[in-house]
Amino acid sequence: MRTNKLFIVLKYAAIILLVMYILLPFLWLIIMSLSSSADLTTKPLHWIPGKIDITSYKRLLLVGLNSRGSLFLYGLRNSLKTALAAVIISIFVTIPASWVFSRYPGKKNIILKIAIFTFMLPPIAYALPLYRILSRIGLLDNSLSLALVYCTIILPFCVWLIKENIDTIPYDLEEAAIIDGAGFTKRISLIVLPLLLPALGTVALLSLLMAWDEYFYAMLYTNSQNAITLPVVISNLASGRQSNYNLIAAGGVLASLPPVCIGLLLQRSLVRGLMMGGVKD
Amino acid sequence: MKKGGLFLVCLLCSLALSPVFATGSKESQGPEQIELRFLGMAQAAYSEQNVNDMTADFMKEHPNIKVYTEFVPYEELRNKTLLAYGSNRPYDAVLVDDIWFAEYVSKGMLRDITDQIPTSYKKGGLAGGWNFTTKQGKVYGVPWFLDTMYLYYNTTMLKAAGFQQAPTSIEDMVAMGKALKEKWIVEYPFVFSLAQAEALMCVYSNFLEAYGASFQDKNGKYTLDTTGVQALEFLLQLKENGLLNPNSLEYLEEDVRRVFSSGDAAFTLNWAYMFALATDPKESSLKKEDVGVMVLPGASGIKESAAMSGSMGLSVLAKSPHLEEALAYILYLSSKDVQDTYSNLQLPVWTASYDDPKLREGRELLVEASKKAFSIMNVRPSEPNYQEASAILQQYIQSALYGDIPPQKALQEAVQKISEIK
Amino acid sequence: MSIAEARKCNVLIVPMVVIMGTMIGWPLLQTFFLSFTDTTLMGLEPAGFVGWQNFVDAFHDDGFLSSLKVSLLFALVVVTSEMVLGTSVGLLVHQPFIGRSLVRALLILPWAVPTVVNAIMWRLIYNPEYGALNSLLFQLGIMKEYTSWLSNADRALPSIMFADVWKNFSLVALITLSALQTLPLSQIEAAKIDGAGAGQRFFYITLPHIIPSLQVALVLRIIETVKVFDIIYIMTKGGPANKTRSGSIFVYQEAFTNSRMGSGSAFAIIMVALIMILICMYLRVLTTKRSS
Repeated sequence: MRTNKLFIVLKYAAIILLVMYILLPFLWLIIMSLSSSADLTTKPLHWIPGKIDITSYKRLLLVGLNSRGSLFLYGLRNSLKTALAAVIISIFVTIPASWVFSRYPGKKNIILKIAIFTFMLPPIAYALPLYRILSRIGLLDNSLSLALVYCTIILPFCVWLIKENIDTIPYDLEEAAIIDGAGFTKRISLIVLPLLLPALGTVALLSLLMAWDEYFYAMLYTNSQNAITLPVVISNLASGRQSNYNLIAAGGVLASLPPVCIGLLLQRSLVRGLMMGGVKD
Repeated sequence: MKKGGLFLVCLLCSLALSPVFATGSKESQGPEQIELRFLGMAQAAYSEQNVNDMTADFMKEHPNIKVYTEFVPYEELRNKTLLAYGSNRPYDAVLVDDIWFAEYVSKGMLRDITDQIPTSYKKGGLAGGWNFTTKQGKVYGVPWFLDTMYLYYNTTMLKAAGFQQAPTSIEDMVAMGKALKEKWIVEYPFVFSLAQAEALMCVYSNFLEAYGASFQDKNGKYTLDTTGVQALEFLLQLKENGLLNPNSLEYLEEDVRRVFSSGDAAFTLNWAYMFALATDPKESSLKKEDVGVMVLPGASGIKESAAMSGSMGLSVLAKSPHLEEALAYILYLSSKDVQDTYSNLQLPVWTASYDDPKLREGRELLVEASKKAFSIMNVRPSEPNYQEASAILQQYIQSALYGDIPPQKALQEAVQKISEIK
Repeated sequence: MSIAEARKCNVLIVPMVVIMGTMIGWPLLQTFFLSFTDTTLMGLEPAGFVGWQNFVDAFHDDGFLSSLKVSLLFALVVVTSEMVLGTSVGLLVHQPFIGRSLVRALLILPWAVPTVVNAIMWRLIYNPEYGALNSLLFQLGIMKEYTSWLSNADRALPSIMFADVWKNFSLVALITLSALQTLPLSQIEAAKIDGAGAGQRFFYITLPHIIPSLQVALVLRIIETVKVFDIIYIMTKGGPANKTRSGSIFVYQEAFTNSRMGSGSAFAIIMVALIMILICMYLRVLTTKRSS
């Protein structure tokens, strides 16, 4: 019995440690964003700010020509635009393709393998020519072309997950439709798609988070309010010659809000999405 | 829960398309409306706010021109200029560091504005300014500010250690630092911006000057493996003797300013902008009488003082379709009136400004120092491949400061590498 | 399925193939081609064919080789720590305890924080003068004086690794947890009746059950960490003295900062080859294990 008690104490100790490990860094980021500069530049630090200071949020969210706030909001808008466009294109393109891969396996699996293989390529391997191509046709600094570039990251991922999901939809359902003389489009849109919807939502969300997170391409291919995305805006904000720690922290908190909220609200379906590819194996 | 994901995506979709976020769409404008894009630098002086204020005034005077300003940190400025230049939307006007002019000109990126410069600018500007914006006899930019890294010292600390005077030589300065440390007045008397960045080169090159050495010989061959060793050994000695704040190796200028302003260092090198901020009660715990500033003294027996240029100019990019307007804009930004108005953090490039009592008021030390600095200021190599040479030097200088390689060998290897640049 | 029908449905793959072809295939071919030339970023001078020169140079470039070492070391340490920590946390959170659902929900927080924000957050925490870490260790009496993290040559890379583990261990933990939730209880019960101890039950039932899911996480994480760019770039830009410069950062600097697309492409191709070898080796090990 004693070992059991010891086990419980250890377990709770471990859990408290875990919660602190997860929470403290992010909590500190939030506290920083609400502190005044003076509180953040004392030695040793004031852990709890003397008074809550929201000026950094104001500076990031108030709009005016050439103001920091408008750049930040442009970044937010562009991030949303780019990520959504990338996800919509990817899903739209992958549904029919995944359906083919699932229903007609065989040599087409090569394409699937290639898609998954592209996972392995470092973005740097095609960033250079893409830069040249986009610059030649005048599509640098453009949300739509950036979204197309993001497809390189999202597409392989979507193909993989969606195919796995279509595999779980029984073929018998379609056979009935074939007898009725339904073509591909009908079979996909009327039979497969409704059953696929929940999984599709998960895949879309995961891809959205992936696109939201992207920094490398955005840094290379965008430079103005036209298309610059949030990660680039806040990394510029936080770069070397800026020592307003509270402003940087506020930017970080704001940029994390959408994905963190999505994560906390829809955790179960997200994790299921992450498992999809793996469990069957 | 299951359909929540899809719903959320739809919600975000509608949000992205909603008018709140659609402020960026082009408003319908008059036929002659011209849009300019300016790429500047996120820094203390001139600050983003200052530049935006100047720009707003400029737009008031020129209602047909709308200027969009963008600011990136110094470390990204050159890359961004190059990358944007390759795109379909290059900037119209950009801020150019003195070390980049040669490279930009060699790539044909800058507009030759030799004939468009008003005589008042040519005659009234500090001579040093036109030197770095001129390549092969042609002018490619308007000087915006002349600057160097000045030696800042904490007078109160020096007095507490019994020193009434500012140091007169490098050796003198080190002796003072030792005394400060021994008397427990400050733990690390020195702090410099020695992060792996151009800031390191600025600090190093100032000491290089102080020891009377230079980067290259007359033929443009790097000779630091012999001439540069002393300056590097000096920095290494400071670090090994515990006089240099060890965090210096990750610091840029703003970090250094924070440390100095909090009273955690007695000596540092920084640009002119720090003077106003170090004495500003909102930004600093130091009082006005604590802060001394001077041109870095030279090594005894070699030189009296040393200064290395860290100046920047404004240029019109060759691809800009609006030469006239862009030029008007950069001339406005560097005009005497504007520069006098915003001279709090950055001293003007106009000779006449320095006799203005208003400009001198409250910062005689700084104005005196700058006058002296501008007359002796040297420049880092202005060559197309300087950026790469600098990156190599940064790495080896840091390695030497970490004690991985002896200074002599580090510089030898660096020079060897630089000579191999394709 | 008739051949005609199968042919018809090729049409459905076309859009995907077009996008992948133009955005991945074509650029990749170009990179391959560029790697045999001395093309520059601005492309003012016409590019010349230089044969294998860029590749030969690459293997003599100690900067490149040491950056590859950084990438591999980063991948090795980070992935190992994430797998160990993530699996243990998954097992821990699978236990019954008060507030379990809350803690489980929290697990997703680090994973959801964007990489850029994570990097910036930890850079602030590691700040040598005003960072939370120094202050905390000092106030707890663990350290007598403040120290530097990101500018200490030996500590910089581990500090970045720590930051990366914080974000990504949670993914492994979440995957472990959901695998555990599908664990058939009947098997455990049966084992208990047969007299198997806790250790035996873990190694013979639980572990084999979660391993397939973990393998996918492992492969994904290896791939992602070998190509690491953003977290390092934002935290240290590769400094101090290039001790944290990863392969991807090196290629970026070569191609964009130094404007040499040709050799930059050659470096990129070598990195691709390296990642492929790594993954193939891994798959090899996996299949031989399975067949045995």
